[in-house]
Amino acid sequence: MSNFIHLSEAKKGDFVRIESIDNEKLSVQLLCMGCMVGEIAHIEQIAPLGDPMMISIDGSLLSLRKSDAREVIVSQLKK
Amino acid sequence: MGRKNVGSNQKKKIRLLLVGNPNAGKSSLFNELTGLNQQVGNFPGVTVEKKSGNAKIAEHLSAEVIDLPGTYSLSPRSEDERVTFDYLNQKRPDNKEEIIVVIADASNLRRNLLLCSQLIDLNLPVILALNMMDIVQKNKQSIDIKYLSETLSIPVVPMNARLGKGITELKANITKFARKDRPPFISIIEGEKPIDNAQRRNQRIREIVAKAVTAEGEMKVNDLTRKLDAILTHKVWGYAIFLFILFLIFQAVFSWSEFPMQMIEEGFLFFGNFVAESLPPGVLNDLLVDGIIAGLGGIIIFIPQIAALFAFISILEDTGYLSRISFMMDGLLKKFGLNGRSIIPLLSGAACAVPAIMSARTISNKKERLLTIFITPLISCSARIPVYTLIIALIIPAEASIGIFNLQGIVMMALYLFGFLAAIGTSFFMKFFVKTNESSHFIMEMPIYRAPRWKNVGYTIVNKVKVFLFEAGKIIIAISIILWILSSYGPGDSFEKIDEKYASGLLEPNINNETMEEQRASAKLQASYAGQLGKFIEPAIKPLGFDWKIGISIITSFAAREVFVGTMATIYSVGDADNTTSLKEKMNQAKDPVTGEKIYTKATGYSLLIFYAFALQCMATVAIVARETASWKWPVIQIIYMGALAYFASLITYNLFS
Ligand SMILES: Nc1nc2c(ncn2[C@@H]2O[C@H](COP(=O)(O)OP(=O)(O)OP(=O)(O)O)[C@@H](O)[C@H]2O)c(=O)[nH]1
Ligand SMILES: [Mg+2]
Repeated sequence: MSNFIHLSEAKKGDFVRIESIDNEKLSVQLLCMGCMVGEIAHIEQIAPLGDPMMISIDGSLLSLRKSDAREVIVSQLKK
Repeated sequence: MGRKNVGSNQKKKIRLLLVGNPNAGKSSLFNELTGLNQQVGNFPGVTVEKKSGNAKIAEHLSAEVIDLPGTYSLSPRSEDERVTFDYLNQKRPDNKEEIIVVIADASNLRRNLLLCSQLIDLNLPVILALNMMDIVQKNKQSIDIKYLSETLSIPVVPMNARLGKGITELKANITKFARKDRPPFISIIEGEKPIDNAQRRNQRIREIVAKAVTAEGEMKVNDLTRKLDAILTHKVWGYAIFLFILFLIFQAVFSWSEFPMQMIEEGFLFFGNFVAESLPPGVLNDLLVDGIIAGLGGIIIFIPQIAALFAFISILEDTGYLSRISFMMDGLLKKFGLNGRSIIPLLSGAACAVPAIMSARTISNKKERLLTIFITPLISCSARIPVYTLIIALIIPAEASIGIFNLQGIVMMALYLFGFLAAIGTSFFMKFFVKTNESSHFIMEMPIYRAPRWKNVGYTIVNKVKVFLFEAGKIIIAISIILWILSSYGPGDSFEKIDEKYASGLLEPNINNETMEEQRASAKLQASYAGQLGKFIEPAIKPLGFDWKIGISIITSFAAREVFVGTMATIYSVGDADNTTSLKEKMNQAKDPVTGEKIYTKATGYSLLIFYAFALQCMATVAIVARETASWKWPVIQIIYMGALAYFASLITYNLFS
């Protein structure tokens, strides 16, 4: 089986599948912006200071802080 | 007029609400419908307040169109989203028929349909405008409009609001719009948690989109955007490019604008002289030439600089780069109690603090928003440019330099830097005092890069310059008139006494006529109401190196900083027979009557610059802070804090240089 990690641990260039979002309020907010369980995310950029990160889902770009990305559990996919 | 064709020509007026995700093109559509020029920009959160306009929809149908801030869902998270939420919930007394036009970015259909589905389930009258169809086409996709319309049971119109395509079809759909019963988008489950509801909604949206959109390839981020991001957010190049852009803006504002400014200045001197000569000499002539023309001239010459500043900010916004600056700066700003989103107020604060403070609405965390609002007026705004320019030219010779750098330019840059440092320093200090239990997030959509639309940039410049001119112009004219009256009349018979004294010729017998006239005029100015006012505050500002004339300017500058130049112009030209010398020369020649020393020494000049950099002298800012924080507490704290900062920083500066 694929291994689960926090989105915050994903590296630039990784493809991941979103498995669950722990924080309920956050998950509603992310969901409204297109980031939800089952979607495939591509890690596009990590900001120069290591935070925030920019991911793309379904063709649109979203940036979020590592502190929020830590609440998102993802599984790594093959590139 | 009025009543012809009654009956056959019943006019109907409805209301259209433009609702949609941020950056979906609502304001673009608004502009197409109304012919107005609302600000459009490639950035989520350009519109932060409700705007309305009128549109002709059909022969007998017109509409009041309401442009609203973008929102991702019907649970508002920030103040701009709340504006939309409140407007949708508000009961309007006029009972006009209303239609909600949901503008969706068709290239991101899944995300954009969520809000639409929520509105459908509220049983509201909805038309779906599928915008950005050009991008869908470029991505080699197509959308089955008929299927979408049937499944959702609402009219669906494909369009391109940027080019005005699809407007006719939209109008046709509005005209023939009829409310009909619709099945709910998803079934209602009592007591369902919001997250579960949203999940179910999305499940259904996915199914629908999968059927409606046919794509040759998979959805992916536009290649150009990806390539540009690799450079523009690069850990070295990213910052280097940002600094270079700031430098470029600086160059444009302070060097490239010089030539048009000179032309305007000369034009105004010529115009002033022309008016002075064509009108009969007297009170009206003086007021017009010394007060109003001099005051307005002092402002109009800064149009090229202000236009350049707004042009750059508008281009940054229209390309999508502004959101990348937010992205790069978030890590740094959060250490200062701010947010990546604070960069928009801080950058646009260099143009004007008022819209900048409003744009802080997009910051959802209350504390971060408050800190951003609090520090934005410390960023040197365009109203300081006239003051800085005048004083720098006065105390630093144009040819002075340090190494290869021109000293005037260095001082100007230093003032901007001080403003910025004071801003983030203040925020760092304040973050320990302002408490919140809200958590801090930076979750932001990054728009794809687009070429700026020059027409749009042009409108922004014209609009902003107009506002600047009219707002500043009103204040300047009012203050010039008041000031001119206050400086031309004095209490009791003080003026007659001065006239008597000079008429009797007792003073120093062998003085020439011209000098005596000058002395008489300055004695009168001192005795006037304005002079008395200046004299009254002189003891307080003396330690900063300011005389009573500067005191008058500081008082009038509380209305707006740019009034400084007009006030100086009025003060130094009351009693000046021929208006041939420019204000700068007059100020340069100003001497202390007692010691005979120059008034505008380096120490006084630097001290004055620092004072204007830090003091909150802008009524419009005070008013907007009161409105945005819904209290008088914060503007009052802000005035006192910035006033104290300005006073002590000037005190130190003055002592350092004298
Ligand atoms: N390619 C393309 N770009 C568009 C279209 N409509 C709007 N735009 C661009 O999309 C960006 C956003 O447009 P706005 O009209 O400001 O969007 P908005 O929905 O009012 O945005 P907010 O006020 O921030 O919520 C601008 O750069 C527009 O030029 C379109 O149909 N096609
Ligand atoms: Mg808008």
